[in-house]
Amino acid sequence: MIRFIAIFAIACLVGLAAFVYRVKYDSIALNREAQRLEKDIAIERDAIAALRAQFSALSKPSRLQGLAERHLKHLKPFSVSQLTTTSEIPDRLPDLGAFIDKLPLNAGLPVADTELGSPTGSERKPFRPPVPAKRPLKPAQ
Amino acid sequence: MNSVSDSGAGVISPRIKQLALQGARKKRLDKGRIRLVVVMTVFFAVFTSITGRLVYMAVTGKPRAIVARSADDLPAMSRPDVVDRNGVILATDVRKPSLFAQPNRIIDANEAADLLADALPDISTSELRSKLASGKGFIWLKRGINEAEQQRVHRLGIPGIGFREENRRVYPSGRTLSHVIGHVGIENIGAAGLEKWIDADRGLIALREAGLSGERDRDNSAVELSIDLRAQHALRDELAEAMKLYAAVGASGVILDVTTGEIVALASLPDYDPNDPKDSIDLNALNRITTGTYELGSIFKAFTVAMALESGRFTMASQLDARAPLQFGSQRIGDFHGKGRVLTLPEVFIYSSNIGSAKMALALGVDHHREFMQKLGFADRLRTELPESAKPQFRRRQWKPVESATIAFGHGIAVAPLQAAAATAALMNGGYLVRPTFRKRSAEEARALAPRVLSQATSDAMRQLFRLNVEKGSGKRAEVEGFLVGGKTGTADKPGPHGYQKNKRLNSFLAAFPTDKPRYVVLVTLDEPQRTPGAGEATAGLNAAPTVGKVISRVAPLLQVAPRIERLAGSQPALALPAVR
Repeated sequence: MIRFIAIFAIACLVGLAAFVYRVKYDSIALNREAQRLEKDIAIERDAIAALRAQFSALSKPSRLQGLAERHLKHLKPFSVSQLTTTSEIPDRLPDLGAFIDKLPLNAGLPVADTELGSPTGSERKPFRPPVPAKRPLKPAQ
Repeated sequence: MNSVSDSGAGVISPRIKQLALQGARKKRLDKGRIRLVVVMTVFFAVFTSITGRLVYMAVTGKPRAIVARSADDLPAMSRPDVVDRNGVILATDVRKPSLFAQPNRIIDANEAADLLADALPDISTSELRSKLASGKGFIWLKRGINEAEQQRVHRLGIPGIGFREENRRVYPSGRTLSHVIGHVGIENIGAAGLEKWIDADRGLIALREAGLSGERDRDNSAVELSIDLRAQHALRDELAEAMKLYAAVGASGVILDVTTGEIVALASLPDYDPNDPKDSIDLNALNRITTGTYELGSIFKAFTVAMALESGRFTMASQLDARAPLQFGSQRIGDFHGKGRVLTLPEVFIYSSNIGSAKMALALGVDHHREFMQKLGFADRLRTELPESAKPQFRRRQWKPVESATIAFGHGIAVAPLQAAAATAALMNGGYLVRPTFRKRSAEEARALAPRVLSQATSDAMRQLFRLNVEKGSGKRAEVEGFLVGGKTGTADKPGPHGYQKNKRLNSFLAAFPTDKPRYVVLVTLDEPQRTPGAGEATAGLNAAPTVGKVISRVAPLLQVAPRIERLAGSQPALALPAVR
């Protein structure tokens, strides 16, 4: 009995030693991996911090105001007079037909200032309503 | 033991029984067996405890690594981010390389100094030489170098020269928030403003001394401020504009939430760039809102009138005789825009009558006046998170009647403008004196800490008077369509070495909006504004008031104050087609 236990214990010991050996080397490898990851994370964190700082610097109000003043000359700040309540809106639209009839269509509608320019550089033509092609009218029967 | 080994393995048990009968052998065998059991038990116990410990560590583990510091100088401290009330970054750390040398490892200091001086044009050769020849173990050559410089130095390949990444504090919003946020020194230690407060609040100095401050701490949550960066920019931009337009030497402004006491914006000009804080030592660049004390002049009439109404001895219908100036010995109190008749209490306020205000204070007695001003917090230093604060010039001893009379219109008492703004918040919010703060705070928290100094009725009356002054009085130019601005002007002659100076003024406008349910107090002061062509005399109604109007028109939509559009309706229908020519 005791011999059996002894053999069993020795076997266990050898097995355990092998197991511990493996665990130890695995843990060293994992530790190295963990350190590498920690370092990567730190680098990423620093990169995120730098990018966030850059984002804040690029989107700071004073910079945006400068850009808006330079590039959005056609827009005006919002005014309270542009607001209304729902109760103020009439149930029916004003007479649009009469309004359109009065428009001097052939002279061309007023066109927005083209200073911004189009990206292709081609000049924007003032809007002209399409003129129906002259076609002899069929005599009504 | 011998007998055991003699026997066959398969028949141990009957032999043991047999052996047990024999005396001397039995003894030896028993002894051996006991020893075996003891050894087995001990081994078992030891291994079990080791296994148990291993399992315990594997399960609960996270063994704390001990940070080994070399003899290097400590690297710059890591600081928490600072964000505004909407989460926009106001201050953060970025890693930047710093250049160091180990002079004891340098072979030829002169040659190294020459080479480095070429690569780093902003450091002189002689400075480098003396540093490199010092023979020390470690020395910083340049903190925070850029990539091009790093490349150049790297290419030289001098032994004993190296780079080390360090935290550098950056303020993406630059000058916009300089006085509030403050700045840090070269070691990333807070030097002024909220940065200094963060050091104390988060125990950063202690961490640094323990050698634990170099790494970016993931648990270090951001510090959240009450500031709204957009409103802050709008305020600063308008102040800068006003300073230029009215040729003032300084300008400052604050926007305060009347219910929570949160400071939404605070700007003082001239200011400095916290990224490059060398201008911060300029005396003119002090924080005029918290660190300067000023005789604010007529805006104090608001507090005098509030006191009169609160006492119950005056009502909105009270009449005060402002026909004759008051005479105290050689001193004479007259009115700037004298009406020369009996004024009602609202008229005293909107025509800014010195005589009327002084008479109200005198009628209530000097003690009552002093106690009321103390109750509004004008006697004590107003402490916020900012480490810088100013002690108001307030006479604690018995006041003379003439002092009471001048304090009634804001002379002979000098306070930090933030104190006036805080007291005005009490005038507007139903009488609660909330303490201003730079941190986010809820209305309940603020209310719990705020003593009540005025009744609701007085507060309501003051709201009406503020509004009346913008509709009919000196504050007309502060009107912003839809936002019901109310306010009081203050044009104060600045005290000089020989009494008050006639041509040097401090103009202020103290406003609240919207006056039907006030949400914000806005105080703007302009230091020594000059006359401007076409604008007549440089009084507060002509420069400070329109500045406040512009500030409110910009910040009110940002702060989500809904405009009162019902009031505007009328002349034009909401949906109309343009007239055709």
